[in-house]
Amino acid sequence: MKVSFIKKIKSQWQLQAMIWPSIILLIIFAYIPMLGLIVVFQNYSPIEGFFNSPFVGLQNFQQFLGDSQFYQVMTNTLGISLLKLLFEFPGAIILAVLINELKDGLFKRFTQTVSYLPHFLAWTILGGMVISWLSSNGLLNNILMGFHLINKPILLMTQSGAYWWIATFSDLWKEVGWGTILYLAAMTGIDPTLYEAATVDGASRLRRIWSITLPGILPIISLMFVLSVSGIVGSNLDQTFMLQNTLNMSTSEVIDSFVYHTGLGNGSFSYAAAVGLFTSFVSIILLLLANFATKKIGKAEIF
Amino acid sequence: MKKSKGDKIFDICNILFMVFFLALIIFPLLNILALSFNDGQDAVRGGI
Repeated sequence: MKVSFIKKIKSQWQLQAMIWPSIILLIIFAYIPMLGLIVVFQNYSPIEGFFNSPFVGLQNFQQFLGDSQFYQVMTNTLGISLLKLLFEFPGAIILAVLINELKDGLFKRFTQTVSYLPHFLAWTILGGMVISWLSSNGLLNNILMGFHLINKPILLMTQSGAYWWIATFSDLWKEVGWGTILYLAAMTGIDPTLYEAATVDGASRLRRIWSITLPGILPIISLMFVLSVSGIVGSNLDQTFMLQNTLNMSTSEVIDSFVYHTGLGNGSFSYAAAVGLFTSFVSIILLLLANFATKKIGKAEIF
Repeated sequence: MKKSKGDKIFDICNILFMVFFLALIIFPLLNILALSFNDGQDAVRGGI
């Protein structure tokens, strides 16, 4: 058995040669640093180092679970992520279906290309643009005042209640076009004779979409769903940094930015690391749950 | 194959929606483009 295993590896040496550099990189930069998680159980100070910092056990975890600010931050993270999931996930699917229904030609390709454009704007740039659009002299207020819907400009960026929606819709604007790519690719894999048969049987457009297109991309939808759900406790740090300000901090501070502020800002490395570890742990649980759920429904699963 | 009336309505709505969607993407980008070409004082005055 052992001999044939080594023989197998030798016969695949080209593939092995391609993949081993990546594996080594991963081990060095992703797995070995995990040993640094020891700081989670310490009161780490950079001066003392890993081995001399006092050992405090689970004190860091007790500390943040009792911290009311942590719960606010958790609420923000989950709220924003769920809102984004709610709009972007169906949004990309619906847009993909509609683009798919366009007749092939210049307009269709033009629409697709334009829809991909916002994805390429980095948040560093897009953040400034969003702030400019929502300013008192910006696009939004100009339009609303032009239609006489409001008399005085509304400054959305200063209102903490608006932040979740600003984050969600600006992210939607940026990503919905790009998100259609995967679904459109899957749709090209659907057998065209199914459509023809349906049309001959008298199925309407909507009926064809509902019964052929959507079931045809269901495996991709399940896959994307599992991936999206596992990212719920995550967030887009670029976006948060750019759109955050002292006035909307109460609703804009998410776990990642909180870890940044307390960890590197206040120097509480252990606290921040503990929060980060907790977040990763929750992500894994969500991933396993989502995978289990899709397995039960019977469509594609990741593992 | 002859398109039924329902199909035609769907197509028209789809195209209208697409035009709206395109405007939603292009319009703000043009706004920023215009602002960047103009003098700073024009932007503060507003009305672009």
